[in-house]
Amino acid sequence: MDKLTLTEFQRMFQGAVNNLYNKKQLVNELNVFPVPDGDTGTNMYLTLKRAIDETNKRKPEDLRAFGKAICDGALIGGRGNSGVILSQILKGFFESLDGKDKVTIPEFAEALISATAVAYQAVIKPVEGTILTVINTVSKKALSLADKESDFFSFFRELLKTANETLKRTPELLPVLKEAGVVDAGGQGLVFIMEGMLLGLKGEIKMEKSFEESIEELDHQAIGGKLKFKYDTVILTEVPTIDPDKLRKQLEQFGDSIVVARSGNLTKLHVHSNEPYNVMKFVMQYGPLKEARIENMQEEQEEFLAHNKGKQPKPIVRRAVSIVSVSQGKGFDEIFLSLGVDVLISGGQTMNPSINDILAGIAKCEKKYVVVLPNNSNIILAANEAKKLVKDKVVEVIPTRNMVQAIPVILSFNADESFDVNISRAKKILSETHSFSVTYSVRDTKLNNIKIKKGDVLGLTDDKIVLKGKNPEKVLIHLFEKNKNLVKDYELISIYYGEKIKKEDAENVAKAVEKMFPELEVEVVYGGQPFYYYLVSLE
Amino acid sequence: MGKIIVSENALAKLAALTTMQCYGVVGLVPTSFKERFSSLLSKDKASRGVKVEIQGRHVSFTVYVVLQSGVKVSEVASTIIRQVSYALEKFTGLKDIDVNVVIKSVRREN
Repeated sequence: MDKLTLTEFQRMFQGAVNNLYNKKQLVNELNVFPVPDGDTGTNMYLTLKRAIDETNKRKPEDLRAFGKAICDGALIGGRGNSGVILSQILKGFFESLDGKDKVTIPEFAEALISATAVAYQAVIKPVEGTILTVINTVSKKALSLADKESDFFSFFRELLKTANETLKRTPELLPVLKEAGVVDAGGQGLVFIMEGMLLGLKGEIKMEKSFEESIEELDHQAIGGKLKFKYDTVILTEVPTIDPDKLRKQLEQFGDSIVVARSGNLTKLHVHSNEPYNVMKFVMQYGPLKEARIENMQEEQEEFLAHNKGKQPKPIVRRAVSIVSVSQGKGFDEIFLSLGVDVLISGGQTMNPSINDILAGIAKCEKKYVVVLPNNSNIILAANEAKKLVKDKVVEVIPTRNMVQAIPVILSFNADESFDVNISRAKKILSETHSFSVTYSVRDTKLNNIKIKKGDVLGLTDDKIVLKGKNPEKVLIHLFEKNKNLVKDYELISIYYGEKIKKEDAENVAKAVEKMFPELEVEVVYGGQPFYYYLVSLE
Repeated sequence: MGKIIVSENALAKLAALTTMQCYGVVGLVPTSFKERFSSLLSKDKASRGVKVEIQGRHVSFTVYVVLQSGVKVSEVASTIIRQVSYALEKFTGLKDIDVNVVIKSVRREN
């Protein structure tokens, strides 16, 4: 192949976004620079996803319109530092191709040079050892190959090789990466984009991972809403020749929520319809069925509705304020709702809610006075930003750093007193509350002179890592032993165990703690939180 | 035990250098209105583009910047806020920090 047209570009970008989707967690785990908040992969994926969505919406008929859609989408949807850099790269790239219908290898190389130039323009002092370094070396390599290569596949493979080599060198260029023992997250994201482009170009767009997740999402939507099609059908079949896009179109006659994924000789498809037998009959004209599964969603829906009806806990106290709280884990969701939190925002270590998510949460509140509990040190800033943007309500952020800190704060609100009195008391309570947590490390690193390996169990007092170990229960007990003097001045120890912990283990730990502090009350509560084995509050 | 004193000027300088490294920022401009509007500050003088206000333990920073046109302004601004807060917290241990960003101008694309 010596020229690329609109069709190839569409395949390349689809490949890129799919590959990034599959690998985004790996990228997140590398994120230590400029701020170690573990969201680079997610941000790059969401930026590129928004760009692709824009092309799907506009259905461009030539390469120019396609490039325009990609650039507009990436600009509007740009998330985080890496997303902004990516949008500049795409902008420079497509500007150079403007007006062309077919792109040759020298033109593609020129476009990469332009992408690099535009990306570097937007920063005074480029930090090397980042995504910028990767695009820079790749574009230079492209230029040096431009006259020699005549086939896009081998051209691309060479570029990918250069990109990988540069990525490996990033720790040498940027000391903070070396210290943490990682390569640059943004650079890794770009490598995955290029890798996905090559896969897309070859027609090997891998969707295996996203298939299960996307059908789960579709089923969930269907069950939560009005049920138009009753039967959920998943079929695995051997049809080596049929084009997935064509199949998708043809399946539309039977129903909706169609997903088609290919892997080698196998095709997996998912459809919601009222006539599953006809779907099977239709698929069988192309090839034999390997597996088929049909579920009646009506039953699931009834169960779902019944389950949800009984489970809407009523607020126990009427308050003069509405409370918006970030939450993670089933147990905590229920605890917060039962304490009278008005709006829950789901949040996580890697998927921090955006300012917009928080604003949306505040908008849902009925009362004029709103308290926001970020429950994570990475979310406090976003919450404060959201607070500044709200005009029609009085918003206060109580800077809770984890979920257990939020509980005494929520309990302290009193409807009979003024908002200001409530807020200053809440802040005072927060400053007096201490918490322990037990979690695990997502990568090798060194913090507070403790050498940490990926998978190590970490013990934290408040937000500081103080010890490591291999067993969550032992680490927790060790934390209590180490902080005996601090703990004995409190009255109540609440231990919230996470989704990965067995109830018996949690109860055994509680018994050991009770022995250590016979004069204190110890309670064990299911929190269901991910990432943290245990969260403990001292009140 | 002795005391460690971090001057306002040192804080401004740290904030300025961090801001200059942020992607999308092409420079800082003076905080005062008297000086010429669009003159970008050189690296040594960059701290004049930062206003520092201290109230007890609370420190508020305002950085005056020029951005590259064509970047998503809201994301670049929030990157500045995050990077500056992170750098200050990391280097000085200050916890109670506000960072405000004033976008004074936008540089045309070359």
